[in-house]
Amino acid sequence: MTSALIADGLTKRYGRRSALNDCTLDIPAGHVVGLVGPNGAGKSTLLQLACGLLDPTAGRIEVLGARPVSGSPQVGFVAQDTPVYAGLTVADHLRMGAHLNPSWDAALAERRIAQVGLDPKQKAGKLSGGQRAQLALTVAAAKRPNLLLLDEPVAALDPLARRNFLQGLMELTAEQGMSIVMSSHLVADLERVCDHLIVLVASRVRVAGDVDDLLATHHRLVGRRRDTTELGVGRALVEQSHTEVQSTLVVRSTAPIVDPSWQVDRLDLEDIVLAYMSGATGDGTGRVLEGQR
Amino acid sequence: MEWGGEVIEFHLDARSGVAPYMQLIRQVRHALRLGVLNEGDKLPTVKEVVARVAINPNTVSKAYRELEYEGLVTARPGLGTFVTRTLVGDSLSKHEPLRQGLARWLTEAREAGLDDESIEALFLSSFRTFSEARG
Amino acid sequence: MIWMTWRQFRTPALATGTLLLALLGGLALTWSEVTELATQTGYTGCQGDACRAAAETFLQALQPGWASEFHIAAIGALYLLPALVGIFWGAPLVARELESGTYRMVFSQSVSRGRWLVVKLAVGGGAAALGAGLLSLVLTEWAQPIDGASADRMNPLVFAARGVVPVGYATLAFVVGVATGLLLRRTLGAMAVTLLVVVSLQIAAPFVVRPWLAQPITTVTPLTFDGDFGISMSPDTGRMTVHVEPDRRGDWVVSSTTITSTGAEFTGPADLTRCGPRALGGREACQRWLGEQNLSLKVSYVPGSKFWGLQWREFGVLIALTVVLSLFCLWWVRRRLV
Repeated sequence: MTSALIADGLTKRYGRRSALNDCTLDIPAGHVVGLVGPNGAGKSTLLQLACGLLDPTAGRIEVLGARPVSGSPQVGFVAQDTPVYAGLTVADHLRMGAHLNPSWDAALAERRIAQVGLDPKQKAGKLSGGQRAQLALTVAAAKRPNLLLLDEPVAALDPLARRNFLQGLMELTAEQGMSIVMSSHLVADLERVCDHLIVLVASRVRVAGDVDDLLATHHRLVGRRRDTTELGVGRALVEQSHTEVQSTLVVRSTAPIVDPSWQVDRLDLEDIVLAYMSGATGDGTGRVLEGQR
Repeated sequence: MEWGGEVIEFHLDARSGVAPYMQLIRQVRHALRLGVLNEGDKLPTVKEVVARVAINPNTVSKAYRELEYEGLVTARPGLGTFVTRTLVGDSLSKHEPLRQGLARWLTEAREAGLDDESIEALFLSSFRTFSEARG
Repeated sequence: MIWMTWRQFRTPALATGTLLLALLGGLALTWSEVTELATQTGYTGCQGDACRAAAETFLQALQPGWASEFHIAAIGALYLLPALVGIFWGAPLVARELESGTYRMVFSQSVSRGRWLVVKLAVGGGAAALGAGLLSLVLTEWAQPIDGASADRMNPLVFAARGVVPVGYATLAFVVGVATGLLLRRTLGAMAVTLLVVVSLQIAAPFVVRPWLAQPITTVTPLTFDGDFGISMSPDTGRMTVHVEPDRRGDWVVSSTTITSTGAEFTGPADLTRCGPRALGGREACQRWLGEQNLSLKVSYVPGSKFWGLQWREFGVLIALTVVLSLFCLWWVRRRLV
């Protein structure tokens, strides 16, 4: 499996504040990878480092096997809040893309603009959030990059615009076969469009894996209160919470859990991600018990 | 993008905890079982599904590969994916004896003192364990 | 990149261009007025001492016409142009991209940041140079009879609106705008700071930079007090200063002071019996007294013949500053921007 992005001890500091601290990860190529995590986890910083908009303070980052530089024809980037030139028309944006990218696919750009119903003569400043995002995606995709990075592309969109955007994105993936890394905190959206997921909490990878595997190997166990050290081999405790009488565990296990004393439930992706996020904040037991008093 | 009457439409339930590719497989199997899909029918292309459901194309391909592996469909390069076998016959005919067996088990459970909810919980957890054990 | 730069730049460029065209049109229309008046008043082709009077008549004759209006407007425009170019072309160039976040879009196209800025600087700076250069050279040519008659082109006010110097101010102001925009990352703030910097530059140039560049010649001539001179004195303390207008037609007089035999500036005290309101003998007595004081006039001046030499020197300094500031912008956008 080749890598789309490798980070090793990657750190980005602004003065004393560090936006990304000693981050090490390996994002496989050929996938639609979701990068999730709480605000401030460093997702946006990581993506901007990956497209060369930022320079690392320390550590190493490699994108498609090379040090990232801005202006690379290999990497496309759709920035957070999908900025566009308000004074330029939709058609102007396509002309800009054609002038600034040797690999520009004009046919693809025009087809997509027509498909999503954008008027080429419309000023970009008058577009809705969803239309703006579609325009930004079109400009980034028509460059025909091998890797497309998207920073919270749908965060500001209403559900319908979100769905349309993701549909467009997935069509592009099907047509062009490019690798995609997108950050988001809307896990429900990621579940359908991503086949690989990375949960980043405080610059650390909490869990990374194929979405299908994550769904298949995570279980919620509910039963009488007990000590949780007796889980057995091949099982890892992700999150736990206890009341006086009951224990609720989120467990990662490759083998099915056959234990009649537990009620075993499936978890959807959002539950899994949340379990990893909250499990990372420290000792789950103390926190929950604290909350109950 | 308009689908003819001969193909099925997929949908995804994000909160089910079932992997998206598995949801697609189940929907195809279900359609086969109900006779919605018959031998020779075409499944929507990956692109069509992607455009319709906003789903990762790799996921659709994976589901189709799995269905092919099970011998339910076959991919003809350049043409599409076609149904090769239905599930109507083998399941519907066996329903009746199975139902009788289940009814007997339910009676036993009642006699053992379990109420409706306990029976349901017991059934669900056994079923899940059973199906997960078999992959 | 050139297309993109032009597309973003065309509105302010066309606005400024229209303004310049109006002025150039005005100068073209009044061209014949200037040359005809110069001929009619006998200034053109005059010889020797007659020229002084002819020049005076010529300048008088110009006063009521459109020509003098356009002359003032063109000089004003050449002073205004650097500020306009800095504020409306330079300051928003990068600041607006940073402010609206569009830099993230353009930097993820297949064009390096360095090239992006080089093209923007070249197009904007080139347009500024072209506009200022065109207006200035046309004006210099147009005003040749006037400058000849008034012998005033070394005057600091006129000097910066003639020849090649306006090109230097326009390009420098443009890059100042770009640099402040780059550093402040806010369009409005960058505009304000640019205005401040450009105006201070225009004020500082004639007082500080130009005398230093021109290396004025200093002469000391004994004062005889038989020509025009002005006196100011305080009748109580006898403190007195003498003002003599040196006859330096066509030159730029940087400073002119009345000095004593020791070389210090003459400040009195006056002999109150011979000068001042209580003195007897009136103005003549005071004049005689001053004549006895061994006073000299120390004049520091730049000869009019050095006009073009000084033009190129000042232009060179401004262009050098432009280049240095451009290189700084390039370094910043590559290394320090984000």
